Amino acid sequence: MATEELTLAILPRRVANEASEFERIMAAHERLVLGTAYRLLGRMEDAQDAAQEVFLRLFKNLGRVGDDPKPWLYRVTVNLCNDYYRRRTLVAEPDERRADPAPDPLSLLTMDERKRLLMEGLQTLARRERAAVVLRDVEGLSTRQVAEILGVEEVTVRSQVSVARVKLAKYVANYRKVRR
Amino acid sequence: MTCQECELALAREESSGAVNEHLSACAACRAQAEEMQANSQALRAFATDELPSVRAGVMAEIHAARRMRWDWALAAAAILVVVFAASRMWRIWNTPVPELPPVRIAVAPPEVPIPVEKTRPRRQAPVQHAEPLMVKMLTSDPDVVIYWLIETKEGTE
Repeated sequence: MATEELTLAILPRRVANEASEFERIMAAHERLVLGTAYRLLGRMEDAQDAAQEVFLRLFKNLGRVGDDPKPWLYRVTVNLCNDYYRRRTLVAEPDERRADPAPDPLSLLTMDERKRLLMEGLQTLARRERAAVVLRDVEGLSTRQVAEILGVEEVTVRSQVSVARVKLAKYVANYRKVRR
Repeated sequence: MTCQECELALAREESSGAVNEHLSACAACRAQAEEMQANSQALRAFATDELPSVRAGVMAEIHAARRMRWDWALAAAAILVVVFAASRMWRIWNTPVPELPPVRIAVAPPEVPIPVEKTRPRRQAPVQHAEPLMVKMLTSDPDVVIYWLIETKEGTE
């Protein structure tokens, strides 16, 4: 009998239930974790690594996560992405999405183009500003929820989000100027 | 209201008469307001992007970790068995053999004739003495007749 079959055969029912509960939570929140990690890190490969790590931590801490795992998942994702960002020594390589052909400079920005610019712009923000604006504007959380996840005051979140929005608007506007 | 104040108000999504008044008079701030509005929509649109799945990778990691845990558990169990067996063997080999008390040879008791119970002789069935067998032999001479008496010996049939 293979080791895996043996393991499954003698797994206690509680562990098996936990495993299925974990898979259910992961399916429901995979997009939340991976999407947030991608906006924070700017590279899909890194985001996938971070998301895997988040879910592995969830698996280990399943009993300690409350009924609604979202706040826990956001908090761990943001913290892990901060660690990734700190460790990352290389300058961000061009992502597949950045390899699009250059848009027509005379046309208005398409949605895809704007999203691509915003992804780039997000990487120029300070870590805390990026986390705040991603949670507030991309994930659509309230200021209070963002403050709880980041462990800061609401007024701090408001300030960080405002600064981030201004910086992003300027980043896109600068791109327009360069194009012309 | 200055452009800087207007920018801050736009970033905070604050709408007031002063902001609207400034926007109607300042083309640069109006352009920035449009930019922020478009950015806000684009940021929200990120939520509909297609993303790859990480579920298979996570489950593979979990299964690998479990397998490793079982391998370690089995190895630990095997080591425990070996250590236990070795300790038992060591104890057996190193246990000193207890000195036996000196053998005392007891003096043999004087010979006492063992009364032998005489067995009763088997009762034999009484021998029945059969009648002697007589053989009468006639000769050619009618006056001569031979009688042959045969007796069985005792104990034979």
